[in-house]
Amino acid sequence: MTGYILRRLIQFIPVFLGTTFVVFFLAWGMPGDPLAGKCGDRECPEAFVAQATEEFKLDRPLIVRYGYYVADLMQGDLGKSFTGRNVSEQLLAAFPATIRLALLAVAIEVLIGVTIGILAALRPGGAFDTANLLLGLVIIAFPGFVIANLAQLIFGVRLGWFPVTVSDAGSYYQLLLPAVVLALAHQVTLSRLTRTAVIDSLHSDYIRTAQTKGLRMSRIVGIHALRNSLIPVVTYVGKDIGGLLAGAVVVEGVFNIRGIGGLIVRSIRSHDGITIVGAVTVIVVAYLIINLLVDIAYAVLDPRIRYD
Amino acid sequence: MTETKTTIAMPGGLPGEFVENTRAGRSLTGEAATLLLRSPMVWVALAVLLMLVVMAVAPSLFTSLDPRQCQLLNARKPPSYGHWFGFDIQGCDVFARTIYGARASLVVALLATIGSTFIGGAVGLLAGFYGGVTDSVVSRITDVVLGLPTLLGAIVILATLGSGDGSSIIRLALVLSVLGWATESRLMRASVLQTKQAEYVRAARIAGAGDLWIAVRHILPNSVTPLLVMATLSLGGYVGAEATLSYLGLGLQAPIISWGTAISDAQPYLASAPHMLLFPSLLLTVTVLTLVLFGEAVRRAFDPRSR
Amino acid sequence: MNRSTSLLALLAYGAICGTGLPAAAAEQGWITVSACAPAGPLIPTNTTESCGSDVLQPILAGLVTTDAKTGGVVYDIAEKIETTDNKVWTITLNKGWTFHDGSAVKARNFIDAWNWAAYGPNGQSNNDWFSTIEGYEDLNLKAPKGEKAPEPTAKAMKGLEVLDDFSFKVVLKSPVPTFKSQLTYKAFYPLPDSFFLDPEAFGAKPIGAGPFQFESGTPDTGYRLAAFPGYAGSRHPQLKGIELRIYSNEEAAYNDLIAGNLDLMRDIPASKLVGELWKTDLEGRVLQQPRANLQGLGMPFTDANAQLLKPGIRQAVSMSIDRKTIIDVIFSGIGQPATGWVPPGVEGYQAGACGEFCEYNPEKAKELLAKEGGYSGEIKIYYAGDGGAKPAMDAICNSIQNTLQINCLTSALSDNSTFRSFTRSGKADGPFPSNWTMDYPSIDNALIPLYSSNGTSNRGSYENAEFDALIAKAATEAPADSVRTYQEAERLLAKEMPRIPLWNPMTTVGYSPKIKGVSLYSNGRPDYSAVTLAE
Repeated sequence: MTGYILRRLIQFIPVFLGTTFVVFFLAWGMPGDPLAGKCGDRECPEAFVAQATEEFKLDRPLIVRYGYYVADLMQGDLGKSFTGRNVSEQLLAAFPATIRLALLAVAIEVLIGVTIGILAALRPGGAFDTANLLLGLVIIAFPGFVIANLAQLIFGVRLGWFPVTVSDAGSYYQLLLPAVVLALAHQVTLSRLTRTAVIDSLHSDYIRTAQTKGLRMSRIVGIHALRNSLIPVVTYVGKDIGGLLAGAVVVEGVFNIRGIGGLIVRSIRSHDGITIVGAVTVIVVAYLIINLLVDIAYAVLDPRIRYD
Repeated sequence: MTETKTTIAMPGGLPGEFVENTRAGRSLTGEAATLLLRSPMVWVALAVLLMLVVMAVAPSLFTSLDPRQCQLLNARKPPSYGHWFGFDIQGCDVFARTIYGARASLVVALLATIGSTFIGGAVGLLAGFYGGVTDSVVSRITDVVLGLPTLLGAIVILATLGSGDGSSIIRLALVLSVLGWATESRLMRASVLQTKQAEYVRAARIAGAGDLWIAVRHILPNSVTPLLVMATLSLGGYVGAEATLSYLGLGLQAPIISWGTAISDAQPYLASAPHMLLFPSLLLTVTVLTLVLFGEAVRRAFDPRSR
Repeated sequence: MNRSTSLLALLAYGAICGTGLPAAAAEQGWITVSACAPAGPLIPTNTTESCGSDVLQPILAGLVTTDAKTGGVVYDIAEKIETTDNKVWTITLNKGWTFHDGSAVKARNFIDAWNWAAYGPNGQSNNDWFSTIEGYEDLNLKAPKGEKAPEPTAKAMKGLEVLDDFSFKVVLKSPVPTFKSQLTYKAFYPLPDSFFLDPEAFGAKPIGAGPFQFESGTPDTGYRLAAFPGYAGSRHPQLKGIELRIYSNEEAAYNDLIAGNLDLMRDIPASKLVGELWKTDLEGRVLQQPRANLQGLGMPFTDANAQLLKPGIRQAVSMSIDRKTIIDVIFSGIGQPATGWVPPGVEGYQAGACGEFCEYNPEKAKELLAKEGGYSGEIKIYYAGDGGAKPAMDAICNSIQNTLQINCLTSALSDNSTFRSFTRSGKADGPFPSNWTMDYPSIDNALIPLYSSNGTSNRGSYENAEFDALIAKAATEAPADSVRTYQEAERLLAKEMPRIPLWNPMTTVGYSPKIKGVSLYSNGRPDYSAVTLAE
């Protein structure tokens, strides 16, 4: 196991470099002059253009600039963005809200999804199961931005149950409504997964054995069936956290959450290459780590899985 | 960008689920088809799909109005006789635009599904079949692709392709496939890994068959079912993804009419003129719902335990 | 290993720390105002975009300012500004003004600031504002072709001279009748001595001499601006402070406003002002005021589209746009059709400079088009897909199409940078939105930068010798005469239509029941000094 983890960690290095390389070229390869539109309705004066070109080495070949970037990166410097701020500073300001939103959304999602999944599994094809399936499909079928806007309008503005928007770092309370909106869509798949997995386990031999031994149904479902159904659930949740850390662009926009998704979108829109590379790289690394944690969780949950 | 990605990935569920549930042999396909047609839900879904296809092919059968004939003075008028869905912000007939929008929305989704299934299938086959270093490299690339923001990818790809005339449907489909194949590839890889262990593959190898022959002749047909099931499911996801990209300002361009552009154009008027949003959303929802229900039925038909 | 621990640490950091300020109601005497995130350090001479300018406006004070009520230019730090020939200007300061750091505002604070901003290697985005001053070239050496510009040896412009602590002299290269109006622009505002020691620190915590002082904030958290007790001007704030809350999305800000979480919102999006709902939501707490801004359609200026180079076709296109209906429907009636290239409210504004060519007239438009031999192919309107221009562009396209029977399409480019590079490159084969916000409220600012051959925002896209001659003539005239010459130059533009005037937008400000006395400067920014709390 340790060997496996080490191997995976070593793989991080080429992936990390590869990602920065790809994203660097994507970000700076965007068409158009990154300095155009930096001066409002006016054209930028020559002195400004010359200075910015020099500072960000815009006149050098991309590969040379990548070299500079990596050299800085090795010293832990993510660089300075067009806005004159350190990328690391921007990331540290944006991550708390994103992480809180992700954790809250996943918590709600797991709570709702697993509960519904188990209830549906107890009577597959029953009224609850069918209703849940249809409702879930309707939720999935509606575009996310419509649901987010509707939720804000109804529960925030009209009913006043939740804060309408989130200011700066964002407390858990402020993030509750956006988290519910995110969780609502994500729990659909999760509850379906849980349902399938629990049904499978309930049909397996060891559960039947437990039943014949006279164990109570609640105990069977709660402990035996659930534990063995957790693998797909863990995989999905892992993937979800990874996705949410990349920032929920639409929900962040609607609820004015100053998170990582918005940061990346703003940087892309303003062709702020250095910020894009830094932010995306951090996200990809987060993905890798979470995937690794998921794989480790497999082994913990199911002793039959061995990586060595 | 999570939204787009999750919408795309969501209906598909998990690789593991399919692999476990579909130890598919070819005899199963015929059996599954028979089983499929026995369900009334499938017939309803097929009827709706047929209607959508007709709508996409010959929209003029459904409405005599011209969706591009817009009078600003009619803007935002609520539904009335002769204009069942009212007018949109530009004073175009919402009903006509919703009908005519079906084509672009469905074609984008179809092409994106074919594209991502093809790329994902090929990459997954490669990784699963060769294993080892190839697998590691491919898996990590998959991780990177999953971590890339769709918006960045979309802007760069759209820009690289240039804004040639009339091809914005193809460009959008390409963006969605290039950014969406990773999930498919993981699924295919898992499926191939399982098929590889089968007796007949070993037998073929002992008999001296080459790599390519084994991969294409034996492994591909026996591991592709979960991928195809997934494709049915992701069709619906891509219909929704087109809408999200439009919302982010990267959607289809005029003169193409689509549900996505209609929905994102109407979204700011959610509170004041909801009818402009309601009807295209409704059709989009019905379409996605039908596609997902159909996909779900296909999945069940292939699931040996549900019989 | 290292990296995974740091990620875990980051996760923990995010989950626990940095809770930030609660969004709850601001403290007594403070109001919350919507704002957008500045795109760079808050240095007046390097801030051209509107988000940063919004933050700086209440902090800064200059020689002159505009009166929020009349729109006229009034003295602020300056006691008097005198000239006999529009070329040599003598400026005398009021005594007793101090910066927020306690240092006195003296003549050299202006001269040092101007020299610093004009010095090429400092790369200030407002550098070209000083190009009219004698000696500007010494600080901005021309770059030899394909090489970098050499480092200038001079660090000060010859044309600037300190007379004593409270007066200085400015010598311009050639007469500029509107120089006094130009001084309302923030590039000409004074900088404290501390700025020159550490411009970077200043950019994070700007210091001015205005009615509000910078207390704290970043583009992520928003800003707190407190009333400055040592303020020496006439715009004494009634409030204790302003909290600027950053929104990346106007709709979110509007929802906060109607839910009562925000006291003042500038620029309510037109999509929210549709129907009757907003009237009940805001109960009349709305102020609409014209803004010194022209929204127009830029025209392709290369043979990427030779047909649109013909003035007759441009005029026909202009006459086929039903401006009034578009404003009524798309902008909910907020704004007025433009009848010329100078926005109303600006000194030198004349109604109808564009004449019949800016009036919607389908018959005449068709006639003109026929006279030019018609138009073959389609018209494509390009715009930036991230800026909310779509509804208006679609409507213009429909209007052109319905009137002239020319197939018209809109094409969105992904973002503003891409859009600007594209349209500037000359590759655009169709019209594109081209807007101009007045830097100072005088007619020359609406004309010279955009349409004179060497205009700073023209870049060779338009050349007209007759126009240039009039501009040159106006510069040497007395103010009243020069205005008339500028107006003549403006009317000249109708012949070739380098840009089709569309409309002059209005700023719509919404506010909470908590405040009253909201008024706006001609640039559309609120005059916070006039705002009081409702009892």
